[in-house]
Amino acid sequence: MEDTAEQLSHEDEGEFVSEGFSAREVPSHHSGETFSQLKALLLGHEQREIEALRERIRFLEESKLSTLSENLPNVLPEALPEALPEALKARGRNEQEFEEFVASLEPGTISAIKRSVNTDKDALAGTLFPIMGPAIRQYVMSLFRGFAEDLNENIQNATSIERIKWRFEAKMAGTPYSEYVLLKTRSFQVLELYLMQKETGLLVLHAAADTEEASDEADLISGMFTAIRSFVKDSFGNEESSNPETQDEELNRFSFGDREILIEVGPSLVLAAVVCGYPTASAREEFKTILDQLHTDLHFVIENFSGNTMEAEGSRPTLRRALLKNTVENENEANGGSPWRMWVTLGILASGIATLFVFSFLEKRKWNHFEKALRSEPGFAVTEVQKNGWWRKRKVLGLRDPLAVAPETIAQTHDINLKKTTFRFALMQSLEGQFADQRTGVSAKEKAQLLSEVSQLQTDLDTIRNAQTEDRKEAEHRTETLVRSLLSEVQGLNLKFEDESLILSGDLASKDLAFVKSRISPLTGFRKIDISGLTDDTESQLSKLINEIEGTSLLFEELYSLQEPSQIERIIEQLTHLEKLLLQSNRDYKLKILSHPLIGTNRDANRVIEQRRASELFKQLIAHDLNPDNFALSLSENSELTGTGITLEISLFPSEL
Amino acid sequence: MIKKKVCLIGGYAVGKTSLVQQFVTGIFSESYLTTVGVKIDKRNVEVGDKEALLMIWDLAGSDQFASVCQSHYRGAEGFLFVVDGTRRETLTAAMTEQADIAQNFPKASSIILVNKSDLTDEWEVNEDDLQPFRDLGITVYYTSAKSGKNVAEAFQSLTEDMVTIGSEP
Repeated sequence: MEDTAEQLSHEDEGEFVSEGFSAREVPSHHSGETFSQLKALLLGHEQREIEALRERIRFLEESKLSTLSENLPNVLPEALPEALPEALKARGRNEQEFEEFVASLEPGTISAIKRSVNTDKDALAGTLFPIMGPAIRQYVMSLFRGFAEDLNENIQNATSIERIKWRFEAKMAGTPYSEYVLLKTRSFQVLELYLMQKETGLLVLHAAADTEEASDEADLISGMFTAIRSFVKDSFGNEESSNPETQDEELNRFSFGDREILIEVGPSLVLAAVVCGYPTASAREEFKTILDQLHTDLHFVIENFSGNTMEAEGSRPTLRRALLKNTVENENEANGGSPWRMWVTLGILASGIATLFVFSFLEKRKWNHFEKALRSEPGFAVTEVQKNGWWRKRKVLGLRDPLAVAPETIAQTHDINLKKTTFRFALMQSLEGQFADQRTGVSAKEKAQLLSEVSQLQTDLDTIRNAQTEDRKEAEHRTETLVRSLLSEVQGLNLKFEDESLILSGDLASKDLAFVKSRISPLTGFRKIDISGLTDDTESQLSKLINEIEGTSLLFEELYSLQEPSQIERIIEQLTHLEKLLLQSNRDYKLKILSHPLIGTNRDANRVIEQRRASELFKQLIAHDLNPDNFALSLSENSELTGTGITLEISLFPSEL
Repeated sequence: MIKKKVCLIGGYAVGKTSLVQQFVTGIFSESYLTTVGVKIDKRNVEVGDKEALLMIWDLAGSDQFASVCQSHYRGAEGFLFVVDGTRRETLTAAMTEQADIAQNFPKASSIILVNKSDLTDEWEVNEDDLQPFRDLGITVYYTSAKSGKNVAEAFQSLTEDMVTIGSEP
């Protein structure tokens, strides 16, 4: 019973609460009735009026709905255009409702666009062209710029030393070269991000790769970014241009030191990224994508931006996605940590170097032994060992006795590679005992052999000489016989052989001499013939005779009487002999009779006498059958020969044979 | 935090930079350095239980350049027109600028700062000159960047105005 009473009591409390009063304010059930009565007395009129109004409202709503449903087809076309904007505005105030509204419109909008495309493509294309045209052109230009940059990089990648180093490093890291180049050239990190409202430049969000380095001055920097953008656009842009491309041009990057600031401009937001390194084109695309995402996320915030950035905090994770980082180290770590290939390669290299070193040491030791042996070998004098190149080709230079051991033999005993070794030894004669003894033994044997050969040669030579002597004598005899037979008519000719020469000598008449010479001449081609001993006897007689005639002075006792009258006869005799001799050689003579001055100063008178003396002599001479044409008279007028009477001068024609 | 962009506009050497410096750092310098382009500063201002961050764009005096880079005004919610009380011609320039701003930024808050109020001996501007601004509902402050008189108050007033307008639906 107590439980039931308590339950009822609680139910009562519930009723009172619904009336707007607390249970603690109601002391008992009876007092409740009193209160109701009191309320009816005080507020009864108003309550009735309220109830009547409620009824009225219910009635009106019901009647309006029924009327509206009845008249909707008639009212809707007129009412909807007026009501729709207000309805949309009302929806827009509530974000969730607006999203639902947009979602409900989406199928219809897509269908409408599809229908428009199917019906008339040009209409839609014409409408979209002002927006899509510049956007497409900018995209294509961006693609070409990226392509040009890639091309430049590829050209640079081809040959530089740095790229060769990269190839090696790529091998070490076990990464394809192309991938490694991409990592190297595109190594970058986004240090800071500034998301700004496009119009005001107010910083909406700021993110930094290292949160500790987040700048306190981000707001100022954001403002300055905007100022710089405005400045550049106002200074270099052309707002008056009709070209939409130039109107939309924006400052999209600038650099400072190793940092580059990339600026992506959207319809209402601007994203500025401070990048260290070389951002890739894909990074740029990523920025654009993230900026688009931020536009979508912050559409309502930015549309009615009051400056309260807390409203945008929800998009911070999206913004932080743009804190891109691309480094070689990251890639290496992603590939599995430590570059074991590098260590393996280094190990192989080290082993190779060690092997090479040991091999080189052994080779050097072997060569030293060989060289020492060669230098100590008798008959060798090594002057120089040349090394050509790291492959150890050697050339050994020096002197070598021909009797010494061949250097190749020594090299083979020391296991020296003869393909890599060259010997250049000049000849020498070693004075060392073994070589001297060898050389002496050889010399005696050779001498005996030579003497024997010389003796034989001497014998042969004597035989030949004897034969030659006999032949020569025989030939001389034949020659002498032949010559004698040829010149048998010539008197006074002597023949003899001396030193294999036939010597002819003797005083011969001119005629005989000419005969001898004519006969001997054909023989001079076969044998040496000396005719220097042959003299012309006629010439000598002529000479003697002329000397005698010209040495004669005809002196006068009286005017015209000779001191020795016999001189005339002797002169005639001499001239007759002269003519005979000259006849042998077909020559002739001229006799000049020179009458010299008489003593005395009367030259005219003396000249007559001198003339007459010459004429008298001339007459006496031609009286003895001498040819008068051979004579000439002359006065000498030479005072030194005064008193010498008459002298004779003979000239021969021709003068010599 | 609410961020607001404020622009200081006025002729050359009216004291725009000094006012900003006084407001931001509380320091006044007698030396005059002309502002090239734009200089941006910031300061927090409390408005009731809200905190606003003023991004103050100190623009180069419009007399020095043919025209101030108009794009700097974009997005500004408050304008401080600075007049040199010792040079009456700067008031005329401010009037012209104010008219342009009012046309292009009708929702923006504006305040007139008649600066250099410490130089009373050289004063050229009187109340009648300022009446046109008052008629437009623009608050006028006599300020001194040197002494700091009314500087903070002016910025405070502008901020409150901007926050109030900004919070309206």
